[in-house]
Amino acid sequence: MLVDFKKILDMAEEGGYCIPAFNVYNIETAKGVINAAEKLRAPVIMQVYSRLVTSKVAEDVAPIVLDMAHKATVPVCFHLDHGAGECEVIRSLRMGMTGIMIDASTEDLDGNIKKTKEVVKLCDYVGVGVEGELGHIGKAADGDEKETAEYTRVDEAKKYVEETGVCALAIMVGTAHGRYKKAPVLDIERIREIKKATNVALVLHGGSGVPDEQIISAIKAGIRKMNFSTDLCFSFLDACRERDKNIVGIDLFMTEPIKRVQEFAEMKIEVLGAKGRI
Amino acid sequence: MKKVVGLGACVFDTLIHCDNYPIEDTKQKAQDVFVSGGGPVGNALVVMSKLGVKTQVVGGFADDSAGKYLLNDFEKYGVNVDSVTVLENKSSFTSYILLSDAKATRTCIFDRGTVPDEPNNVNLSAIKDAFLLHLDGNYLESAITAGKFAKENGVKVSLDAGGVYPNIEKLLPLVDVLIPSAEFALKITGKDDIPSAMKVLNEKYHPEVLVVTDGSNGGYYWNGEIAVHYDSVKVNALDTNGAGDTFHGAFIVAYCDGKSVRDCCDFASKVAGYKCTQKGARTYPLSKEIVENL
Repeated sequence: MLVDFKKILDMAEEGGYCIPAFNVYNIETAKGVINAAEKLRAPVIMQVYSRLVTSKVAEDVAPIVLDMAHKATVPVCFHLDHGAGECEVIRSLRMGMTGIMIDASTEDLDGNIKKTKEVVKLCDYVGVGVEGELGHIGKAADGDEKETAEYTRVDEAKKYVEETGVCALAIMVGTAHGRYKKAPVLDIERIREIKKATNVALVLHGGSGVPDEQIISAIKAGIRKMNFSTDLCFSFLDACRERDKNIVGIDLFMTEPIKRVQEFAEMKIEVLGAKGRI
Repeated sequence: MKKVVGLGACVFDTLIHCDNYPIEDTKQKAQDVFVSGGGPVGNALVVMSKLGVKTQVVGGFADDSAGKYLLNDFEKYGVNVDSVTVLENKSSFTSYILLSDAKATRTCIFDRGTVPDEPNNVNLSAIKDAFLLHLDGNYLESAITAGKFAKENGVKVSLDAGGVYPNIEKLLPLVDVLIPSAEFALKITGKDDIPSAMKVLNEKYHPEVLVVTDGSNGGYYWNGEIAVHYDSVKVNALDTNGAGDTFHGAFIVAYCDGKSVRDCCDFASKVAGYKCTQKGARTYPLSKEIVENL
């Protein structure tokens, strides 16, 4: 069933586990995620990147995701990932998304607070929870790990959450988007301190490639949502590239890529402790 | 066939037809007095139904005589009332409308009644298989709940924004087809002219369709870059009451048919102009054939 962002985060908080958030792009990636969630009885977030909203690709993907979410027997939240601005946020609300992320993390703290606050106000009108970001999470390909000085600061996180009213906060504690050249080392103590100071659901972006034992420690410290995009894309694309070229029926061709997405999602659902929660 | 669900003001109108608008503290004989169903959403649903769209009304209705009249009236025009919530010991939204022949004006005094703005009175399941949910900003909390449900189920939302009701901006993020009056557009944006107001509304809310109506002056539609004027259809007006609601109903009919925004405006203007030549907001003859032959 389709559920709100706040509700699915509350489930994770109460159970002390983490909700996997998978970026989906088409029927096949969404199907792989839903299959995994149903099989392992796990709540999941299906999210679309802001670029798909800007390009209006999401207008075609949204009805598919919503239909799958409504038919699912496990809780599914439909979320905007890295919302670039109010335009993308409003379009996403009109596409039926039940969770919104606004990413104003490239602004200074005051600018980030101002922009996020506006989006929280807008989303609050229609009862949709908002995820903000503090401490810009860059791309692994751009130079991997940031200096710890660029990590999310505890005092700033407290101020940001109090002044914006977000229900979830993405933090920079050692992850990056994309594939890592070497395994990242997460600042678990910082996660714990930010959790204590803010008391909101914390979010880890760049979940692809983070060693399982670090993920488990991060969840214990307060991470309640973890994003997986890059490795989900590779699981799908690698399966397509390896597929027998003599298979002409696209539905038949896609069975393996869907299965590989499902296997990837199942693996992450288990690591995050979301298995068997429903 | 596409289905449209309506939620908003459904009003029991008492219409007083006079030669001219009375002078205060005098007595004047009416030409005639009659009652009718009314309200922006109610009238628009009736227009849509007459023009071949499957329609349904949702929300709370009082169990008083006016409420019963309204439900019977909807049924008479083919608007489905199966999912309304009938509330005991409540009074209906009523209105007294003075129609003046001299200037073809309508002056309205209304009482909102006691039907509460309670989202639980809205049977959301009726919206699930609809193409579009039509709102008018009345019963705002219910409208937001219904609008959010509509979006989560891939249903379009249209808003006839006539009055700047308190907190109406809360509904605007959910609206795909935004058609405010000129008064609304200017007031909510603080601008002095309609094109400037439309620019602000578009930048703020990015609706799929943005049209601002301006009565007998026609109005403007947003073509993606600028506001473009469209004309009203000039007629010898007999009764303008319900003309705006008719525009909205006819616009949605054309929108359901997949017409361009410009064509929707032209079609709606044609139907609204025709309505002004007919007495009553609902009782006059209207069908697709009649419109085609105008």
